[in-house]
Amino acid sequence: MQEPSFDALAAEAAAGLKGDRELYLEIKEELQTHLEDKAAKYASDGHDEEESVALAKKSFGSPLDMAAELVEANRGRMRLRGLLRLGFNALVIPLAIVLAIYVGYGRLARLSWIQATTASFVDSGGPTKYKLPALPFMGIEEDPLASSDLHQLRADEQNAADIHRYWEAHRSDSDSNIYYAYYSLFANENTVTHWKRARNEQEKEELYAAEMHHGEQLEPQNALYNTSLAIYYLQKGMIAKEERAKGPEVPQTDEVWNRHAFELGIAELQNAARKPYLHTYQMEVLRKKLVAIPAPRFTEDYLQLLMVASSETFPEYAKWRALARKIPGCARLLLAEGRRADAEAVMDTWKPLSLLLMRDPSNSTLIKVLVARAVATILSEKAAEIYDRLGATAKADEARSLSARLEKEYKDWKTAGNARNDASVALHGSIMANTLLPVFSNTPSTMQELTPGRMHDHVIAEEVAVQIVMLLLMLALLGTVGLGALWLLQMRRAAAIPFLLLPPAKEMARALLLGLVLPIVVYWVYSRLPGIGGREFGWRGMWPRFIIELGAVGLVMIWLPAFLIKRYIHRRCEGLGIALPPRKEEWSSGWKVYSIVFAALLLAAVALFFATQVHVTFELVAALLMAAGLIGAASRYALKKRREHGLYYGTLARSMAAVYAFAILFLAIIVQPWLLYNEAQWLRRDTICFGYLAEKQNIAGFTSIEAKTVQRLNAELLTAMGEKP
Amino acid sequence: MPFNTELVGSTVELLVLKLLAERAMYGYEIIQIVNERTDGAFNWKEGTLYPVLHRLEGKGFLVTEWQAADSGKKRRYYKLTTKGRGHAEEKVAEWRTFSGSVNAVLYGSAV
Repeated sequence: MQEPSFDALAAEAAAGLKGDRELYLEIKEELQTHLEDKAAKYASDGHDEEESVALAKKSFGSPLDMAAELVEANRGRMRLRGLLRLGFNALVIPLAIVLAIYVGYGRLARLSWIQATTASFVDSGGPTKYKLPALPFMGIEEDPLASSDLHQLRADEQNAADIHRYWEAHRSDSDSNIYYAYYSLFANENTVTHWKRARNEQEKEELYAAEMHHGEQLEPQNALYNTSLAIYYLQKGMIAKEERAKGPEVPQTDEVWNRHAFELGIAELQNAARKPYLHTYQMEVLRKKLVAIPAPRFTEDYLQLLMVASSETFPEYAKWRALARKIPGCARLLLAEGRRADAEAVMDTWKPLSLLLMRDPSNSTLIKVLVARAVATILSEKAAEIYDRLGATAKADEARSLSARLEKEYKDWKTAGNARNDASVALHGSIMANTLLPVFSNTPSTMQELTPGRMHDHVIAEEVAVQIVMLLLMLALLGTVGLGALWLLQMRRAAAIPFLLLPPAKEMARALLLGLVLPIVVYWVYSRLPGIGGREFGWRGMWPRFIIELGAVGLVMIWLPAFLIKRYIHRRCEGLGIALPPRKEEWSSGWKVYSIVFAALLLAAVALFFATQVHVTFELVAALLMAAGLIGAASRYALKKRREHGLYYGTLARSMAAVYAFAILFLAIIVQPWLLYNEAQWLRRDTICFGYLAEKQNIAGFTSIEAKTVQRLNAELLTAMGEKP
Repeated sequence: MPFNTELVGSTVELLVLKLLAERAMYGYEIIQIVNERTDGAFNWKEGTLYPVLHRLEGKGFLVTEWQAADSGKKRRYYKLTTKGRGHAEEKVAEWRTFSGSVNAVLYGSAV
């Protein structure tokens, strides 16, 4: 009978441990080396090789007894390791995949939200951008005013009925005049609350007039209601030649359409000009809304504040631009009818009305001040012409002089924005500061003021980089789990079945510390240390460098932990007696496999990009199938080429999943929340852009810089008009 | 002279811990050293040593590492952990008290 070899004897003694293949291989290898040492000792004592082997085996005793002893000694450890493996497979891997998908999807949802929000902000008439639905805990609030009835006060002409309803619900409030004034901004004959009751145009007109007169009773000194009525009547009653479309077939003349409305409009113009102030209360409504909105935390929340703020500053400009054209038109029509005194009286309204508009306390954004200036400039130029025709030389000279002074102040203001301010914002400012450059250009901002916004941009970029790293780690995790399963199937008939090596906690901690924490710390120190990392510069113009830096850190974070754990697995496999492939063979098949997988991923990414741009569903499916086919081909090639060392490759594939899973968990549970915390901190401190609106009650514009600019420009324009600011 | 199995079994753990407190060793090396130091009186088998080593490893008193010797041959070395070192000291103290008590009865002296 042939004697069993050491390998078979050791395998028999360790057979009871096969439930834990790593332990089984380890102890089998240990017993085998022990027997070899023992045989070597017998050989050195003078026995020949055959005798030495036989003596070593004989002294080993019964492998069955040994097997029973070893099972008993390792029972507790096997149970614990089994539970750990089960926990890893059933909990850690799915949790890592779910978290990676959640964070990645969260980024996409946030991007789609920002894209849709900013698109509606800059182009309200454009196509509606698709918003991905938000998942719980993503912090994306669809309607920040949903919990408050203030959401009825939407700055929207289609919404006048809601605004009126709001006023009715709050009419006993001490500040109900604010809501009524706000309502009057958006009310017109088609949107007044009771318009459905009207049987004809006449009755509509009466209803509208009644509502405006009601406002006048609520706040008799406010010119808002008279100007609203004047614009309403003059829209119905006449057209000025400046309002007509240009073209040879359109007569460039003034024309009365409705005598009754024309006369009423003129009367209301003069009523308005006698009032001491104009107050639209838009800033008051905005402040109330901002107070009702939950405290902002992330970029989306601040963008929503901006959205709400912008809706309060745009709506009623068309009315004022129309008025600037109609007043001279009215005067010319009256002059043509020989009513010189009426013409002069109408034209005399230009200055009081311009001043009322300039002094509106809600005139607190740059765009509003510029509209007020444009109205005053147009009116003063036209007034000079009309006064000339009336022979009122003194008034004409005054109007001309004021017009020139307004023009000069505006030009001075425009040129006051010096190149140094622009360059400073371009170099050190945030993307948002650069978007608002016209405001920043005229009011210098300090480096201290520009820093938070700029750092916010960097943190957002870092969040995106971490999310890309997580996505790649997740693909690697799925790839290794899939490849491990393929190797299990491939090797199932062989005695050498790949198994799962869970790296010990010390090795895992080392890989995560050196491969993830250290690069992050190095990057953080590099990027935050003044004069080294250059985060004193913004993304504009410097983005290639920042992308290269983030890309380099990202690559290290993907490669280094995997490399360290692979080295450990390599060592362990050597210890367990698993045949390792020559390095050259590993490289030669490796680069081909990785190239094909990379090409497949690239193809999938390009397909996804085009699908989002042009919605080509079939091409996307075809490209994804092609990518899947390429990955399948790469896997097949790898399995075929590497079969000889399948136990090593299979074990490596199955075991690498651990590092990828733990790396994802580390990034999702520690790094990502840390970056979100930083994002919130920088946003809060960005007092010149985002953080300013969070001050809610104290705001006077979109940003603090804008508030300063507006205050200065408005004061200069009032001075030009000969008034005290 | 063959010893009683129970008597041997009760001292294996103590001796293993004491030897590993000196330095890291592999299984065959431990058997050899015990054999040498006892002039062949203790000639442990694999079935005596390895279950004890594995039990101690399972309890966290030992850790193992594959290391290549100068000859290039790999061996599984056992090393005491901090917890294992404390346990070894306890075991030695326990033995000292125990053997002193036995000697006191047998020879009228604890030594």
